[in-house]
Amino acid sequence: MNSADEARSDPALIEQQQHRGRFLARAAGSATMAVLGCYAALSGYRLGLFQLGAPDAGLFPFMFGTALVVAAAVSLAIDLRGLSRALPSCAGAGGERSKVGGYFATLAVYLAALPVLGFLVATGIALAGLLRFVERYGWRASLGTAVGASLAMHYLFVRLLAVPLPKGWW
Amino acid sequence: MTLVDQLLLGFQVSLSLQNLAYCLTGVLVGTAVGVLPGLGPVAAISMLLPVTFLMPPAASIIMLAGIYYGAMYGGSITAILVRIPGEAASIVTCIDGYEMAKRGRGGAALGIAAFGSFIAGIVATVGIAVLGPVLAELALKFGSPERAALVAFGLTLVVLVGQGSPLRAALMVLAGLILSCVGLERVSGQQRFTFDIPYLYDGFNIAIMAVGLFGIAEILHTAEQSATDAKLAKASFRVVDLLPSREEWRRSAPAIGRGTPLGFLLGLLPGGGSMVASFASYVMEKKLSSQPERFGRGAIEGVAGPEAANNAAAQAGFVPLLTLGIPSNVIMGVILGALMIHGITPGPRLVTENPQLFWGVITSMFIGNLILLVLNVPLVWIFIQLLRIPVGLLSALIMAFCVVGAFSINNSLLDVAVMMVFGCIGWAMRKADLDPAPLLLGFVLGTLLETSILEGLAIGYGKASVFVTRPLSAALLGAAAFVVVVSYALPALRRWQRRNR
Repeated sequence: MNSADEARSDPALIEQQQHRGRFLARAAGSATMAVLGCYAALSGYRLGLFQLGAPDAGLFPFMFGTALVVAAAVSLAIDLRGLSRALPSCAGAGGERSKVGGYFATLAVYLAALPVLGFLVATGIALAGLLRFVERYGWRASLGTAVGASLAMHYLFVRLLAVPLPKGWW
Repeated sequence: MTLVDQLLLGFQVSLSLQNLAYCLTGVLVGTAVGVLPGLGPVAAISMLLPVTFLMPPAASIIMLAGIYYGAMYGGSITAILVRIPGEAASIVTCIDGYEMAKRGRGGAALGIAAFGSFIAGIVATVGIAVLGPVLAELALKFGSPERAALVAFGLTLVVLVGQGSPLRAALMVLAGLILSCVGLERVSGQQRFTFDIPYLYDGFNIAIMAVGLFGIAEILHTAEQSATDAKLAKASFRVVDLLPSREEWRRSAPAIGRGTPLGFLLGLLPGGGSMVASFASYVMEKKLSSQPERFGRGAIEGVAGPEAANNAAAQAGFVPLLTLGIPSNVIMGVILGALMIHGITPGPRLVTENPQLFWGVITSMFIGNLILLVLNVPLVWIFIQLLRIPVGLLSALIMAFCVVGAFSINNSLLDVAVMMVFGCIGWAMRKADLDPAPLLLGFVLGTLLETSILEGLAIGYGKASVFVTRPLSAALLGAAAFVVVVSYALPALRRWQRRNR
């Protein structure tokens, strides 16, 4: 077993890597919040803070944004301090990222297909694709579930609740 | 009208065949939601919002409330038998409940969870019936400065009392407040963060946000997790085995007695909620016990207290929502959205202007808790079968349901796209240890905060001193400051004194 394999199988090291990954994610979250705060504060300032002595449209975004920048800066400092103490990462403990990608892709295709194919067909295809290719069920189970679930939802929403779901181009 | 008359009016509403059916549906769906790990009550209630559009307002709130407190009970089933909390408030129940199940007392643990929840539910409902109108009457004296101070106090508690790091909760509350600014400003009509997109002129829809942040994000999070092999602890589901022994009752009764008022009080506070209540009850029981070492090894008080507390808290959350118009937790925020979709603004006037709804919802809780006890105890083995549904299959179905739910709110595909974006944001937030619940609460309360401050300033002729010169407003702001001092300054002072000793 080489050192990389050993590193991959060492639970303590995996935990430290996850720890580091967690701090990285936390720091990224704090940084994003700081950017959001900056944008809100600047936009608020441009909208105007006061007019004739009364609050203008930009006052609240400016206040909330400024407070967010301050809080995010403190949070980022804490995250970075934690990150510097964690071990450098070598082997990744990725989880099932491809599955998440599969869900993202299915959602995007589903959204695009809804106005074209209509609810019934688009839902059937999206469910069948998701179950077969992302969740790795057999064809029979995927198709059976997709058809059954689409029909059940169509019955519930269109027949019982009279929701005008997209009918598609036909 | 006396309290008895009002309760009778409520029972007239809640005992109608239609409302009984919705109450039954609500508690059964809620129990199923509680049993299924990953699908929490927030996501379920958000997804079912469109289903309630065609229902009468009282019926829809009765059903949504049933889902909420039904989920509290359902969560304990898997917590005890599989050591998987169906929802966050049942995490504590895992500790001693599962240990009891391993020792063959799983039935008794389930039984005491059900009875504890039932007793707490009934007591909490009485509490709401008594306290609700009193609070509503007090709230009628509230002007805009008081309302602004109340929201500020509530947001302070959301940050300090809620789960996780207060700093990260503050980040989320502030992000939620910024999101609430999206759209046309109410006084000047100026566009804020709209990027000239007409969809954003009215701001974001809370139901769309909730389905994305809690439904889609949860699916993506679940997809990323490797499958865990849950081991079902041995337990007998015969009704006779679900009845706790006399000794177990003797130990549980005081825990239920303490957990109920504690949960009720914490449920009233913004940021409190069921999870905080169950943790607080567990800690209290352990501290009060003459044998604290039994906790973690199957102490029945560790199941009875937290289960009573989380159910009482779930129901107490309706008091600030229905009487003050202020949601104390994210589920109440979504239910607030449901009320507004029906054209009902919750607040002090709801009790007098819409007594059928107010008292109907309250009395439905008596009935819902009774249904939970009568049906769910004998049917516990059926709910356990839900765990056999493969997670992948469930995720795919929930995804489709989220899409249909989001679409049917305004019959708009743009809503579905926005929901997906919020889903991705929610997934990323989970990875960054950022809880979406304070964000949603900040979003819900943001509009109220801004409007109340602007109106308050108008009342005070532009002087901010109006918020501290009016006694009620000053008291609420003082309470917020007190909570901050107690949470931060005192521990810091103690640390400093210790270091200098």
